[in-house]
Amino acid sequence: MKKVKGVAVHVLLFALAFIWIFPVIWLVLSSFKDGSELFTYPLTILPEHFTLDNYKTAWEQFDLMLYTGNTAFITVVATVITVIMSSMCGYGLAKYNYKWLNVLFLCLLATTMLPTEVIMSPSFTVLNALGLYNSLWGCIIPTVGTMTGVFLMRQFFISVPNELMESARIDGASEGQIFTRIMFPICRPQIAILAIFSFQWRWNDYIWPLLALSDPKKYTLQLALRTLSGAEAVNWTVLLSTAVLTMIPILIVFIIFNKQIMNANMSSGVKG
Amino acid sequence: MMKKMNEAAVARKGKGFDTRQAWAFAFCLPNILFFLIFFVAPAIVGVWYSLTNYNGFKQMDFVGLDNYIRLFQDSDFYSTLWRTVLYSVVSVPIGYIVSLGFGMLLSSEKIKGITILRILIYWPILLSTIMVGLTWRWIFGESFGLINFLLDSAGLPQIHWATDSTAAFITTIIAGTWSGCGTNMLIFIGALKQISTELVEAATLDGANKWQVFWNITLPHLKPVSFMVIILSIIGSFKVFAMVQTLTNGGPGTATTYMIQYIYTTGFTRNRVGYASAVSMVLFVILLILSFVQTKISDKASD
Amino acid sequence: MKKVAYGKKWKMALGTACLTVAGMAALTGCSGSSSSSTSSDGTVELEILLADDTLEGGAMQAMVDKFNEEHADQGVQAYVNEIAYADMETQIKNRAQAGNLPALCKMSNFDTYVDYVLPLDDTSLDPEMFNRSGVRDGKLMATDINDTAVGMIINKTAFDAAGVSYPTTEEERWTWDEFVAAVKEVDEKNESITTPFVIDHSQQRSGTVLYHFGMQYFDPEDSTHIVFRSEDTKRGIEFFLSMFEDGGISRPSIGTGAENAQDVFKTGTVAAHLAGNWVITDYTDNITDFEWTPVLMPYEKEKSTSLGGNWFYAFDGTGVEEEAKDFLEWFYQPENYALYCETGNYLPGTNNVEVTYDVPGLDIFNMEIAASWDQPQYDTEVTEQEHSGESAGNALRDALDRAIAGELDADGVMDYVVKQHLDSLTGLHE
Repeated sequence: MKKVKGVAVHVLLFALAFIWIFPVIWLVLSSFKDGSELFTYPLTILPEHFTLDNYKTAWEQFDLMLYTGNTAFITVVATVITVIMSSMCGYGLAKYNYKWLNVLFLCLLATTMLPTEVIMSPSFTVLNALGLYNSLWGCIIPTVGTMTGVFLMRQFFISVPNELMESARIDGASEGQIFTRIMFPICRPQIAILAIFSFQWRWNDYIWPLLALSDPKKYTLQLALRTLSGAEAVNWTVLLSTAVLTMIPILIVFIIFNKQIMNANMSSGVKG
Repeated sequence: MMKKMNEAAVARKGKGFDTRQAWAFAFCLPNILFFLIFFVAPAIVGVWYSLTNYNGFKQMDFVGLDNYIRLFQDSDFYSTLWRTVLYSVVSVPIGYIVSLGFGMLLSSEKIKGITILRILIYWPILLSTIMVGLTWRWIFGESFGLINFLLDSAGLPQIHWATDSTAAFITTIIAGTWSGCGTNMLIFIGALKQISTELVEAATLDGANKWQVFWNITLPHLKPVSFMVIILSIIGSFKVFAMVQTLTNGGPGTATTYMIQYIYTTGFTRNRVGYASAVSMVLFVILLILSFVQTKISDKASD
Repeated sequence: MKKVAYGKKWKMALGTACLTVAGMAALTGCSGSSSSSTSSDGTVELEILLADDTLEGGAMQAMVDKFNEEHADQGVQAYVNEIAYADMETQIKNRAQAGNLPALCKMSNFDTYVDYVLPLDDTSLDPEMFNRSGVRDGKLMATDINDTAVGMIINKTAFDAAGVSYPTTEEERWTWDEFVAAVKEVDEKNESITTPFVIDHSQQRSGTVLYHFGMQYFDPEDSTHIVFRSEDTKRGIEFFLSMFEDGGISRPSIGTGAENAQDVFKTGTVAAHLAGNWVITDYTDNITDFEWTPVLMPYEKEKSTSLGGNWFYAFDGTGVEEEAKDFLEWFYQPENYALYCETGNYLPGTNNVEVTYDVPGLDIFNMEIAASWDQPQYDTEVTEQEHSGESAGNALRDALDRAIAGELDADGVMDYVVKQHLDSLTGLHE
């Protein structure tokens, strides 16, 4: 009886996951349909005329290797800096108790409340004044001070017991050593989570590349993807295939980080 | 030994310059600098714009509070604000429950094939907002959307996703929850991984049932991250834009035109940067107050 | 942890902070790379910034390849920088601010940037040869690289099956009522047709219908006088809205842009599509299940199409002004320009080329342009030239969206459009 219940739960869970992800599967399936079949009614669930032409066109039309390289550079560098800065600041905000830190927290929180879309033109002025214009660094530097990252690390550090710090202090560790040798390592799963987020944000970002880049040799995947939506027409076949292609690297990265999150055995670390 | 005594003495004073405070400052310094350069500086310029009739090019005359006066007389502004609040009130709790549910489900190791399940459920996190909009357009489209096709095939009446205001509102909620809850789910999983298994085992041995464990151990442990998830979700729901623009383009009529799209269409597409900046500032103040109130409530709750 | 050295000074904390800051500064410092229009071997690089629909077949890239081949040893090479249409304004604004404007640019607007544009009056280009005039203050500033026109495209298979005729000569032109009757008949007689008529979610298209009913934005005698509010306009709006009501001939989801008319037409469930000439390439490539053809549009009080298109122009202060002018002169040599129009299926912006197209029916659009009333062109010119840098956005489209959704009536649409114009464009009166 218990076994039957177990099987039923599994079937239910996988059905749920399948429905959950179906919109994406549908998108992937559609990318293998030709332009005519894509807009046929009644719809075909599986591509009737399975074609790789859309992918071929996408590959020929764009220098995808170059764009992937640029995007990867931005994403990796920004993620490393983001993780370091956010853990430091999150730790500072969580584990020290000074009035100005509370003020700082609210100030940083305020940064999430003004959408980048509406301060685009002043942001560009700052970018240009710093000499970051038309450089891949222009897509990296302005984004690494992300409040979401700081917030994330702060909330995680709050749940780490203070006794860990106290005992290290008694053992004579400096504040810097407590952070680098104790706190940073035990937050590995959270760092992996932040890394995934940062990777996703930068990989899919188009606002900063749009503001910072003007040389086609420095363009990113998202900028290329955007050129497919013209003034009047959307080139659906190429758009779908390019969109699917841009998703693959980030999926691989995700699977790697996923292991980091799931294999960490937190409870033993925090016991102190 | 002497050194230790001295340091303790400095720390006890709590004020002035001491080692510990210097370290706290050092930890936060990079973010403080970025805050000043990439937020405060542009925001000040934004405030200045809101007091002018700047059109994005050369025209920029000081007009005082004209933009704000016009804004508060604009009935569209109020209806958009109300609609955005409604979106927030509906989407935030749904998003919270769904992401916590998935988070608890996926942090369990007992299910076979959990890795595949995790990857399937996580997947939407990896999509850009525009991709999310595109994806759901292929599901909710009236003519060749998948749902209507299935309804039609089953001989059921089709749903007018795009022309019925309520249906359109629901599509934005579904797509918003679907794309947004992955992030929160991951945060919950991270926090759940921190719960000591011994604590749970001890409670179970003491005769606590699953519900009691959830209520007395899991939820209190999740409090810091729940605070963050809710505050970021509220802010995020007020800022929903690119996804809805791709999905419904704010329609039918203005039924799904939320705050940022209102700013964008009344401001930037009409070169009224001054006016758009004023709306942004008002939105900023609203969010600031909301967050402040929430922080206070949360502080009180933890006392 | 026990052996950790003890008692670090606060100086170390400050040191860490300084290091971090120095690191950031270093990152910032090493990144300052300015773009240069001359490559290392002394070849001048000519950047052409544009936002083509990818369905335009890479026509400009083909021309650039030809140019580069013919100028292989003359020290100048052109390249295309393609960006998203929606990002064009942001890019140009930012690049002007950074002093990094491209040599050449193809875009639907140049009046906004006219201060940065390079005058072309000392080139061999004759201002008279262009259909739309790029002359400002007596100087040729921009060239008309291609024209666009609104027109009607029908599902020929469905019309033929229903035995309904369609107009291809001026004498046969429908009135709007006749058109409604025709597409309704096609709908009734074809199982596969579910929607008689679709129209793009664009005010260039919806405006065309209203122009047929006699809508005017600006008084032809006085360009500061907005005469949008009129009986003709009202009649046009009411007719337009009636198409989306129950028993009408279209569907609100398409009228409000929740669904793209072009995509829906491709399903073969639609009898007619009010579109622009640029859809021809897409339809040629992506419709295989049925036949389609462009026909003449209906009219009511006036015959009218909205003439639009793109400008091709050079920027001043780029350091490669002479090369940019040379490129333009080369580009508009009839044999080169004809090739460009043929590759991209463009309606030519000049009157001195004969273009033979691979795709059918583009001649109909040229007929529409020839037959069109002057008012739409006049309204466009007033908006672009007298109000450059200002914009009423998509006021008409937004108002019609709300009307289709039941939020406004015809008077409400007129109120909204007039208010948006008075609010956004300076010096107007009603």
